[in-house]
Amino acid sequence: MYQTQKKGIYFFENQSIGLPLQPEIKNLLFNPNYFNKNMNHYEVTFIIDPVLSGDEIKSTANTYEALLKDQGCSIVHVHEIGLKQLAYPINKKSSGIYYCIEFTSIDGTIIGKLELSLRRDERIMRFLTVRLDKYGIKYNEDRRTGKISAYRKKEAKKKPSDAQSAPVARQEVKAPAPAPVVAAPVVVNEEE
Amino acid sequence: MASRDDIKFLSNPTIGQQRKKYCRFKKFGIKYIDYKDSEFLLQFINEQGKLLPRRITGNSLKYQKLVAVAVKRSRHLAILPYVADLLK
Repeated sequence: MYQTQKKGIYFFENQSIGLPLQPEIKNLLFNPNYFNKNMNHYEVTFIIDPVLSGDEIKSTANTYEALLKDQGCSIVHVHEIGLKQLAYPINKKSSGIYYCIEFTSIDGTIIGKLELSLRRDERIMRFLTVRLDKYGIKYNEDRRTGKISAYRKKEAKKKPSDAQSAPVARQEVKAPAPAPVVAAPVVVNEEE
Repeated sequence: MASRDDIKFLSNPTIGQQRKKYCRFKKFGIKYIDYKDSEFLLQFINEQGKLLPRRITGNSLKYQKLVAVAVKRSRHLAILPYVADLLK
C-alpha cells in the first residue's frame, strides 16, 4: 500500500505537472487540517499606566478587545496579568499593569491598525505583538487549563526538601568537626 | 590479576569528571519558551542581565536562539532588565 501511494505522488509530481511540488503546496494538498489551521494566532501584550483608576484600566483593555472584534478577529483569551514591578522605569514609572490578549485572524493586516492605535494611546506604556507558532498555541492552552505550572511546582517541591535536608546536613557537619580538634594536639605532641 | 574492584585510588576518581551537559529543552521536550515567564528566563542570564553562552547552559543551537529571542522580548516589556547589577 505504502509503495503504491508513494508511486502515486511520484507520478503526480513529475509527470502530470512536470515540476516537483513546492513543500508548501504539498502541505496544503495533503494536510486535511489545512483549512482549519488557516487562522493565524497572535498575542498582544501591553502595559497600561498604573496611575489610572481601576475602571479606566478595564475600559482601556476593553477598547482593544472591541477593536479586534470589529476587525473580524476572534479573541481566544484575555489574560490579566495585573500589576507588576517593571525591571526598569518607563516614563518615570516603576510599575505597570500587564494585559495579554490572544486572538486569531486570517491575515496580518489588523496588526498594523492595532499597533497604530496602541502607539497613539497615552495610557499604554509598552506593547508587543507576537505571532504564535503551534507550540505557542498549545502552551497557552495548557496554561489556561492549568497543565503548565510544572516549574512552579518544582520550586515548591524544592523548598520543603531543602528544609528537610538542611538539618541533616548540619548534623553531618557537626559530627566530624570535633575530630580534628582531638587529633590536632596529638600531632603536636608527636612533633615535640 | 587485580580486577577493577581491587584497585585503590589515592583520590576519588570521579572528582575531576564533569557531568555531561545536555539541552534541557530537548531532554524535557519543551517546545515553546514564554517571554512572560521571568523566573524561567532568569536561568539563562547572568547577574548583569546578559545572556549566558551555550557552553555554560548546554542548550542546543536551535533552542539557544529561541531563548535569545524570548529574553529580548521580555526586556522590551520590562519583564527582564536590559542592564542590571546583582540580578540574582
